[in-house]
Amino acid sequence: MAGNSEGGVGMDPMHQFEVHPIIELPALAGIDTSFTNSSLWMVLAVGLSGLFMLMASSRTALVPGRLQLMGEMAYGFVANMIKENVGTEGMRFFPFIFSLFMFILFCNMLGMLPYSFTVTSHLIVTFALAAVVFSMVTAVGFIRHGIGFLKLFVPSGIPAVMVPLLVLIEVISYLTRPVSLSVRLFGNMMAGHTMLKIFGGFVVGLSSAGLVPLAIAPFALMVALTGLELLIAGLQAYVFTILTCIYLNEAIHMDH
Amino acid sequence: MPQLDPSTFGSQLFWLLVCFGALYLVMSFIVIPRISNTLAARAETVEGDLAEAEKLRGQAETALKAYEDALAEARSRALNLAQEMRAEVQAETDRQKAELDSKLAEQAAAADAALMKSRDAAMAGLKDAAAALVGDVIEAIGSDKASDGDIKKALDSVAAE
Repeated sequence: MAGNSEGGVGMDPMHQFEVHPIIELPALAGIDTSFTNSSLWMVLAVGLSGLFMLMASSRTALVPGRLQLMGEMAYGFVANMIKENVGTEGMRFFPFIFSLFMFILFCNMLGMLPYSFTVTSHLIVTFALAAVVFSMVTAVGFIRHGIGFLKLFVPSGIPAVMVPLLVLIEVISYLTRPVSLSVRLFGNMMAGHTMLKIFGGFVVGLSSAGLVPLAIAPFALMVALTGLELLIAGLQAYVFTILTCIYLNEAIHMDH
Repeated sequence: MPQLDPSTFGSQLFWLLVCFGALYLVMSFIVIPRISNTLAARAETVEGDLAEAEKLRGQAETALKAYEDALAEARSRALNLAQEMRAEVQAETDRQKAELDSKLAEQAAAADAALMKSRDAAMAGLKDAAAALVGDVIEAIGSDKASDGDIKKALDSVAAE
């Protein structure tokens, strides 16, 4: 929802996704480290979620106050998700999964602010997160089960003729997990924000053409869509996290 | 589509690593230990309170049982005491009654004996008077003087008929 409504760029629904440097920094080992608008909103998401959780956990009262309760609810939400989907062994990964959930949730939610930048609307970011999850899950699988982890790709109780085909399908479905995981989040974020921008463009265009009554319909739709997008922002953070739990459960317990 | 511009990838990945790494460190070393300690302490307190309540309930039940036992014992003792008292009173009454009975029987026997004695005396007196009268009558008629022994014998035989 970034960008301004003046001039041609304001009407470009993809303009909001542009990354531009705020502070140029020297490349580090051949990698551009410039502080961009994307970096700014990442820092804000991490800063706000970190600050929120630090403040929420600074009081350790027996009967929690409002902020403490919110922090404990976030903790309990992710902890229960892991316990239900992975079991108690999964609690070793709780810090990572909790950070993942809070990071995605805050990036998505901050992206709903007008003129902000949605970090998770960039495939490279979601793919990096998904790749970390995928590598972690695969590593856990091989560490726990050794080479026996490969049995995950051989479904039980099928005719021997079908085995090669099904193993191929299983391997492909396993390898495409990071893609589906990252594209789901990225696609939801990008599509939602693009749609909001397009309807916003209608409202502005119709109003500036003097057709204010006609702008009411897209405006109403935009209000409704904003609510929907808020839901999606929370939901996608949840989906990403729960899929991580499900993959982790499979790697730990290998029950297909 | 700006998302497909590879020139931004380096910077995004770099800052993602920095930001997510920082968040992970803060969460795993500060926030999560704090919250899990708080939750554990709370669970411990609640469990302790529940255990304490259970203990107190047990004590109250024991006290109630002791009270009921004491009440039952007191009741049975009172019952025993009452029975003993009743038996004692009964025994005393019986004893007094028996004493009175024997005393009355004694008195009755004594009275009976006295009566018999005076009747015998009266009878003896009557016999003597009858003998004297019979002697006087015999003397008056002028026949042979009859001895007292004969008269008494004759009277006895008459009285026996």
